[in-house]
Amino acid sequence: MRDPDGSLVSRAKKGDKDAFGKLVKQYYEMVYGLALGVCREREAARDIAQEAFFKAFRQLEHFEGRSKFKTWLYRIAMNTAIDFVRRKKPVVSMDQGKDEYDEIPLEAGIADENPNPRDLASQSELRERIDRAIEKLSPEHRAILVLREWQQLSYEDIAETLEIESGTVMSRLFYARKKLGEILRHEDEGIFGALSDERI
Amino acid sequence: MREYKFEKPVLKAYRSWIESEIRRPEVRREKDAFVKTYFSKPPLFFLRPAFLAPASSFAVMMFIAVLWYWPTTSLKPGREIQMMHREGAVVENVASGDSDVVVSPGMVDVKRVASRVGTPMVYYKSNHGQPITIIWIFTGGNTP
Repeated sequence: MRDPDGSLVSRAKKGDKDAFGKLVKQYYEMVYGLALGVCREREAARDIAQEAFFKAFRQLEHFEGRSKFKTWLYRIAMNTAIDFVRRKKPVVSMDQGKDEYDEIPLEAGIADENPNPRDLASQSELRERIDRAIEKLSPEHRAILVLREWQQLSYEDIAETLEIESGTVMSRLFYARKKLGEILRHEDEGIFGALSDERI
Repeated sequence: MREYKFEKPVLKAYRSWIESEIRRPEVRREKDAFVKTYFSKPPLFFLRPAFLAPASSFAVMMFIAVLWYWPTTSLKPGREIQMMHREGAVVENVASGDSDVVVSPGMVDVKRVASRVGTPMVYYKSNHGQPITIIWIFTGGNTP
């Protein structure tokens, strides 16, 4: 497995701060986005991202290169973000203890590839409602959601990143999506209620 | 894994939310400041404050010393006179001939003064009724 960051990592392991700075420049937005997906607050996301990079720099000597640096950084960022949310306040999750894969048909949606201003406004509203819905998910579910839906990682990569089984990834992802749908549906029956339960 | 149609716009909005957040200029500024503060290359030794502070102090001291001891710019009274005597070229042609100096009762009339070390100035002054002639040499430049 060839790591594209291998040379920078080697230099950084020897104490080259400039080399690590290049890695920070390359991955800052990614780590920030992951942190934001879990904690949902800008300032907290900034703190988490920077703390994750400090941790990575301190632990770099223990990085053996068995996974890619990016995957290793994902893991540090996710663990830092989850710890941060847990420290901050206990999340009362709607789906705690339910990792089993069950099927609940969800109503069809509101896709539109060419939105007009009214659609944009409704998208903004939708975004706010999604944010409120994500708030009700546990940090672990948020982590899987952001890794899968934003970073587009495979189940295997998510499993490696979070050090869990692929099956757990799938069930958590299913629940995260399902709960998003349920929460949004409960918020506004009008959007989803009128639509069929068409599946794609 | 099944994906329901409702998920498409919801997850699209979710992705665009994160994308728009990471593209904020503040995030870029925070990143640059973070990298610059903690993970940038250290400056060369002679550009570090630990070197620059004593070096600039030494340079200022040397500049003051040069100003103090430089003959042409010295402010110490008597110093320039000593220097001029040592060089042996203080004033030349003062009272060097009848055509240059006219001696009349009670005063000396200087008609021409030249110097290799500076611009001469002659003036007369009465000292308790006794006329005296004073010649100044300004060592900032030579007479043509």
